[in-house]
Amino acid sequence: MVDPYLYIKRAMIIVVAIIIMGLGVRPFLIPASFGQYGEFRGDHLYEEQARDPIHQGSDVCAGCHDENAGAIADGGHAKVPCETCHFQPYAGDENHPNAHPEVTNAPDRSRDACAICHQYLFSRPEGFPRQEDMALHMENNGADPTDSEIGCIECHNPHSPGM
Amino acid sequence: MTYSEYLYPNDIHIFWSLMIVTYPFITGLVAGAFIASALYHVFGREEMKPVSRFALLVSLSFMLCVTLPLLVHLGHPERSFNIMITPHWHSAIAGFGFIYSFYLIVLILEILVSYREDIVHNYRFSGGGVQRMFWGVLALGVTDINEETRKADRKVINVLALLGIPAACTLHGYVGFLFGSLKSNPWWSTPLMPQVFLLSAILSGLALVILLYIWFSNKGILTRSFECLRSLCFFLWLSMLGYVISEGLEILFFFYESSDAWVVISTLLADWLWETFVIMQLGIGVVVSFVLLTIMIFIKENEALYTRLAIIASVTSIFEVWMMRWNVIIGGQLFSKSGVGFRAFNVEWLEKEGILMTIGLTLLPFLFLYILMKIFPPREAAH
Repeated sequence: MVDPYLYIKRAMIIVVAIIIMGLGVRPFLIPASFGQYGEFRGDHLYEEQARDPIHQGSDVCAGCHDENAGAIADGGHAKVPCETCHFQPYAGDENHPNAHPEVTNAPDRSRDACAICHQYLFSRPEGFPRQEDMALHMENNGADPTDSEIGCIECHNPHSPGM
Repeated sequence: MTYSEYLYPNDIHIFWSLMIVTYPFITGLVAGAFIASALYHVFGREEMKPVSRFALLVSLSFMLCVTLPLLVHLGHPERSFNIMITPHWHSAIAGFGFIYSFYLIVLILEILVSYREDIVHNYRFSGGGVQRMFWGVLALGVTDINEETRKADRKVINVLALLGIPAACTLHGYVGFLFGSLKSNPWWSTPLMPQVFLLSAILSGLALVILLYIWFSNKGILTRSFECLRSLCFFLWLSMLGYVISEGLEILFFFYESSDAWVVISTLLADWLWETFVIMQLGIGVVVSFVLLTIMIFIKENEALYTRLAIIASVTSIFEVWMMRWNVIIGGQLFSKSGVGFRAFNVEWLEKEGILMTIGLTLLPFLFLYILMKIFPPREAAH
């Protein structure tokens, strides 16, 4: 008489074998630097440190692009790094000397992009950067705030944002 | 309106996006489909036999995709096993790893045992070569089928289903627990969250099984039974009732307590979630499904009408659950830590966690289901 529970017994042996195998392999799978500073992989800190920064700073851009340098130096955005808006150093040109494979988008020309710094927020220090209630500002200047197509840059030059 | 006042400057971006909405949605379908199968195996609802094995396959095919949204969101899938290699008692995600593995084993074992007769049959009658080897491996060398083994298999299935119910509930209750225990966010932080998640999970899983059952029984792949459909819809109504009570209680508590949280939650509901929560989730999702399911209780004869209403009620139920995930996860991030300011959430089609990826990940389980149904035909075997 064959044991009627033979199937599930064999299946359970396989499950238990997998678990034991997992436990057996586990010591070899624990990353070497685990626990160095706490319950995490210590090497992780150095890996993050060693990563190349995607942003390279305005000086790198200015090395080739002097066309807007004068306007920027005199304007309200003098201290804003180029890559804040041109967050790709090459605008889609893969042959650009600073081309970085991870960044491919064109600059964000939307109102939302400007709003990140310039929308009035209660918690921001007064005065800088210049803050506006965008909708109110548009209404006061005869633009329809519900039209998302209208960008700030239609009136303001982003390189020298005064009027 | 993109931003309102009273946002902290580091509070502008929404980090948990569509993938975190998809994750509990798919997990919920797993749990719900499993409950549909357990109703027959554990609770002896004989009329649900035509759908019991099929619901297991549905559960498994979604189970295989549960982790994908999280992996897409977090990146570095090669490191995902570290949560189980170096677990920590404080880590809820490590708990998920173990509960998920346990549940996956139970589910696979239950499917194998319920298909044992088919496996042995296929092994005996397959020509040879790879096919015979495949069925031989699945049969684990046990090819005896008699009344004795059938009885033993049924017992084993009952035990596995019994083990699976708490596993399914823990797997999904845990997602609600995660949100419910986040004390920094008043829209999430309520002990009712696990119930809300669990009941909505059962709701969506049952609704999906109903839709698939109607589809496949029309195609002749599953045995058509009005009694089975009625029973499934009745349990859908029950879980909807439980869900509505939990969700209603949650809102009622917020309202009646009128703590500082209500300032932000009332604005959230009245302005920012008006369409997605009040109109879509409560209006279309809850009211339409609940009214239809209640009417359906009184339809005893007209099968054609019943089936049509069942399709509508199931679609609106699934829609309701998806919107619920959206409103909890996205809704909970629309307001600032200041408790007063709001920010907008924009989805895009093509980004890594965008709409296309969401659609893809939601449809992928159906591909798995198709493959599983080729290997394990869900109709009860006649040999």
